[in-house]
Amino acid sequence: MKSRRKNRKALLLTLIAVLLMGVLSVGDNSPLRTALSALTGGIFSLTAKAASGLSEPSAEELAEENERLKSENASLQKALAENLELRGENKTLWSYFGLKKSAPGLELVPAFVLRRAATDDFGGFTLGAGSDLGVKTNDAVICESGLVGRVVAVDGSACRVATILSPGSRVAVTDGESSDSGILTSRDGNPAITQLPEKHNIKTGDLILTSGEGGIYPPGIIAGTVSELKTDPYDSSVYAVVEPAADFEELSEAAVVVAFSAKGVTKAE
Amino acid sequence: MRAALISSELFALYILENTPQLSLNPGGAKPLFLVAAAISLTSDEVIPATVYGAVCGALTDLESGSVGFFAVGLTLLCYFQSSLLHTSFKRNLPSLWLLSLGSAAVIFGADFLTRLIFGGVIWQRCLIRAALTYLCVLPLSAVNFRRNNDEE
Repeated sequence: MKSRRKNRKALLLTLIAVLLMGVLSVGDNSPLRTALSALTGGIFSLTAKAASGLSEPSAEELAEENERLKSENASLQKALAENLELRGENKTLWSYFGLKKSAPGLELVPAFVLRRAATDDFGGFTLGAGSDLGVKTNDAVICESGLVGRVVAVDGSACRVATILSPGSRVAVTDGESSDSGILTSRDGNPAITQLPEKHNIKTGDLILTSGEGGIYPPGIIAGTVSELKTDPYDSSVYAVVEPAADFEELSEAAVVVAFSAKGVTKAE
Repeated sequence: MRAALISSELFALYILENTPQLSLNPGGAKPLFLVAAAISLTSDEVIPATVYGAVCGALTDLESGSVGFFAVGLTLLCYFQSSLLHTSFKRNLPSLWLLSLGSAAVIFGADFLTRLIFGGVIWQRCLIRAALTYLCVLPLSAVNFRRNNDEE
């Protein structure tokens, strides 16, 4: 009887401690998450680098991939130049292999993927760049292949990233071929463009780029390619399923877009 | 001494669970090693088992957001499972495995419902994650099973 009372008291105290931890872990730069990142950041940098080294491709595979990427990049640049209205300068993807061309005001903070939560089914991860490097909540995240997602939580030395596969993700996009606009959201864990105009010209294989509307994602970042056009059974609207440009599960590095010219600017209707 | 060993084990499992590409993820789902460890530690006394549950739950929650679901869920589950194991069941591995099956079903069932209600559930991954986590409970129970007689 005495031990049962003692156990119940311990349970109550533990639940109060859990509640307190819950309060201390909410919001940006929360004390608990900051302390945990500071304690384990060094270890995760080592283990993440060691783990990515286990799956490193051979020199031949790298050379082959380099040639393929060069050729793809050349055709993407040509498509962008021909189909998008630019102000006199081409925009290309930021590459971590030194292939960079400046976009007005675009500032990137590159970082390694430190951790991946086992409970996240949508490719989310923690990057080793926090408020100490100017990263803020809602900053866009990109990789050398294209758009990844956005920052959803920040602490002193790391930030948590939700990919475009996450429920609730919304990105204003435009079709590189037809210039039709829509919103890229997540449907059953796959990105899809909804709110398409009634008379649209989107077709499979089209390149989808961010439009920059809303001021969160910089314009001209490749989000993916259209893989399928489907009809919603509930309202008969057409939506386009998109194959994302980035492989979220295999990503080992990404960059946070901390500034770009139209950041925070929302287009007035 | 046991507490220090268990703390090291939990820390190692935390690193293993969250380091990218370090653990297998069939079908895109990874086992929750910390949840498996918490459930396997219910052979301990009730109070330590409850605390291990809270710590493992909090560490699991912190990676995906703020402390909440797994912290509270595992605290309660570990408390009840440990109490049952010390009062109503014979304290051995088969009993632990049987009770762990029930606990895993409860926590992952609740996780599935939470995801369904608050948006975004891929049921196949939930099922694979639950199965893999329970499979991890089996060897961890054998390692962590407290063999000393703790009856009053």
